[in-house]
Amino acid sequence: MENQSAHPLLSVKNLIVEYPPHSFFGRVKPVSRRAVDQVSFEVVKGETLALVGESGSGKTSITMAILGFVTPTGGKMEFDGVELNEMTIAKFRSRIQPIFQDAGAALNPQMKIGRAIGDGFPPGLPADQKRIRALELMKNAGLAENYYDAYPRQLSGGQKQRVCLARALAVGAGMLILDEPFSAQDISIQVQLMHLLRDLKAALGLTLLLISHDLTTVRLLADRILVMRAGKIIESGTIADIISRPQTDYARELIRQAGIKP
Amino acid sequence: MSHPPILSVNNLNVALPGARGILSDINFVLPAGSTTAIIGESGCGKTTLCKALLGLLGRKFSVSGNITIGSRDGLNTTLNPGDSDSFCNLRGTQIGLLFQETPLTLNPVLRVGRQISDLFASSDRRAALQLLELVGFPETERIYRAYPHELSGGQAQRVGLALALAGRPEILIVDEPATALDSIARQDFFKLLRKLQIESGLTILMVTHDLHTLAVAADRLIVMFAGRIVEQGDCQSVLEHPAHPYTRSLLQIERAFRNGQWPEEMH
Amino acid sequence: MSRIFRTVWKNQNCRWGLIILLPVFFAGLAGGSLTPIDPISQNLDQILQAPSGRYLCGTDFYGRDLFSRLVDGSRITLGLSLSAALLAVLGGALLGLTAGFLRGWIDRLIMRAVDVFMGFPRLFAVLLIAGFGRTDYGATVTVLALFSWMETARLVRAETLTIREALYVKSATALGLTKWRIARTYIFPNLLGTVITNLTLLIGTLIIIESSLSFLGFGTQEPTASWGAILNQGRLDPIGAWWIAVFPGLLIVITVIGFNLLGDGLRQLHDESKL
Repeated sequence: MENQSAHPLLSVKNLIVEYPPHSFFGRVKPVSRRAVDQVSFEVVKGETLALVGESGSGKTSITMAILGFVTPTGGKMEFDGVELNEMTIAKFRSRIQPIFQDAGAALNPQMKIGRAIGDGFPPGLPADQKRIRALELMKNAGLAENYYDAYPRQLSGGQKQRVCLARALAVGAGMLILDEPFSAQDISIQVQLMHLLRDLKAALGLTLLLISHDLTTVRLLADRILVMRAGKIIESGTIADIISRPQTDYARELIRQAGIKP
Repeated sequence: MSHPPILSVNNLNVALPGARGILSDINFVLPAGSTTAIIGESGCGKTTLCKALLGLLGRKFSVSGNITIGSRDGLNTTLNPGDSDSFCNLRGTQIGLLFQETPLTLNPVLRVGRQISDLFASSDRRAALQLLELVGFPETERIYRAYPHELSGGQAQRVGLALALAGRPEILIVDEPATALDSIARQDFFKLLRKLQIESGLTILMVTHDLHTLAVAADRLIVMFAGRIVEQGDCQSVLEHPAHPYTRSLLQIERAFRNGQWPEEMH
Repeated sequence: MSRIFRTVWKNQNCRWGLIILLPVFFAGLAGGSLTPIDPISQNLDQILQAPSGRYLCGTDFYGRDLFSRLVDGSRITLGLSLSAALLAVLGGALLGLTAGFLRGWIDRLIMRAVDVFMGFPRLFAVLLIAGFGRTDYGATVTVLALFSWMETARLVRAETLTIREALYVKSATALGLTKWRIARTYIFPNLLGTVITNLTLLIGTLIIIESSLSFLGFGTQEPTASWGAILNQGRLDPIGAWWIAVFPGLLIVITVIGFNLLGDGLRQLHDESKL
């Protein structure tokens, strides 16, 4: 491996995310639900770490906590050596970008594609420069030029996801958190997007945190994988290790479900 | 498995006036008690086909061809998919439908059990509980009293299945039922469908793009591309000897995934 | 632009609303200058003439052609209502957006203001101001707007609360955009549908209020007159000179129906997410 900086790019220690008890018309839930229960992991610059687990295992809550949309009730997060919390997240926004499962919902329906991508550029940039750079990003993401003036509703699901990728790169992100980025698409589109992600990662040296329940795509894209269940990490290791020597029944089940030949 | 067809689609063509056709020359049959899967890309017309089978196409579509449905008493009815009213008696009682995003179709302010029992005359609680048991819930009381947001994805999908089966239909159409579910919930769901099929002779038409489960879940396979059926037949045979380039590339992807290799890009 | 017009025209409600409103707007733009007879010229030997070929809607107590007066009066009625409605909706939308987006004490403050203002009956507030001698155009518009912004504020606030939870707003936040930028380019454009519908319906309401004002003798004074004022004159001889009351009344009703139809249609389109 090449020269690593002294610390990992992203470090999460004993993260706890709870949803507080709430009362709805008098029905009180006495116990908080721990969506993320003492989770710790690190992501090294340039690697692709996958978080695999079934729906409700806490994967999305981790994403939201890292991005500052949800306040953890416990634990610590650090990005590039600096503590990540609600106050410091503003500084790192441009460096970590989310790619959500529902690409359509992640795009402003009243904003044209070219402008949506351009929103990632520094505000001082002149309009024609923005256009040139946005078109370039669109090209790299596999979007035809004439979509610059299109609205999200005119695009297919796969194309919308490409727009989201282009937008994330427009702001110069070095790390992407992808939450089930492909599962809403057809298989053939999934393959296209996977190829795109692989190429972008190679060209730009991206660090990826990939969240998925689909072991087959994870297997191809990720270096390491964390298996989550009920808010906890139950197994971790490199892809090769987990697939050949799963330690937990759950991991074995996931492998079997994915139809992977050992 | 030769069973008499319970539904046959004859020369179905659907188009939007002024635009190219959405469905062209659709012909297929559903043998009773079997599971038929339809695979194809977004935009190939799968969803329009499901709507046509339920007479849910809007008036602006121009439709030709017909659908013949056999019923329990051996009578065959032939219907024109463009005539929405003629399907009224069928929906729910002879043909049931399960959507892709069931959680969104549930009323968020009503308990689940109430939403199921409301489908029965005199809000039959027992019937609702029976249905919940049928779809594999071990703790039917708890689910009965739950609100939709308290259910997991897999549970919500099963509730959707219960709702679809409430009218005891003979044919069930499921449209991408498991895309929102993770692999384990997905497998469980298809196993449940199979179990119901064996127990009650349900005929299932399944729209999906998930190749993983096809081989296990489906008896027959229909491949659609650009509004046409490009291949159909016994599931195993089609998968082993794909004729159409689209089917072949899908299989190539599936094979690559299973072996841990990068599939080629399709265009 | 033409796509928007085509969508709007296809909707039944919108189409009829526009058809009804077209002549009214035309009258409003043209004013009394387009009518053959001058609206304020009196002709004392032609007073209280029934509708005829010459005087399409008859004449009033001073021999003035009613038709011309109504056409001229449309400027007052429409002008007042449109101005007040625009002011109210713009102000209300801004406050609603601020409250819903920023939350906290600003939200509470604005919502309390809404509660306070809603406590005042609109009509009486205007009457109060008129009672202090301010019956001019500007004062009427201001007071009407001042007591009409609340509904829009509430509507827009509710809509803002929903929109700010949307994934695309979260994505915009993740991009590092300033709150001001997000409010302006991500939230506001998605509010327009609600706002425009609200505006259209408010115009109808204000036409009625303005007419009521004038009917009671407040609002605009002679010789220019709004429909309500003309209606007021009709009180003096409702059976004998029926045309003085009936025609303005009819115009008010038809115009309000027109705006209501347009507003309903726009609301339908917005719900279908076509706008």
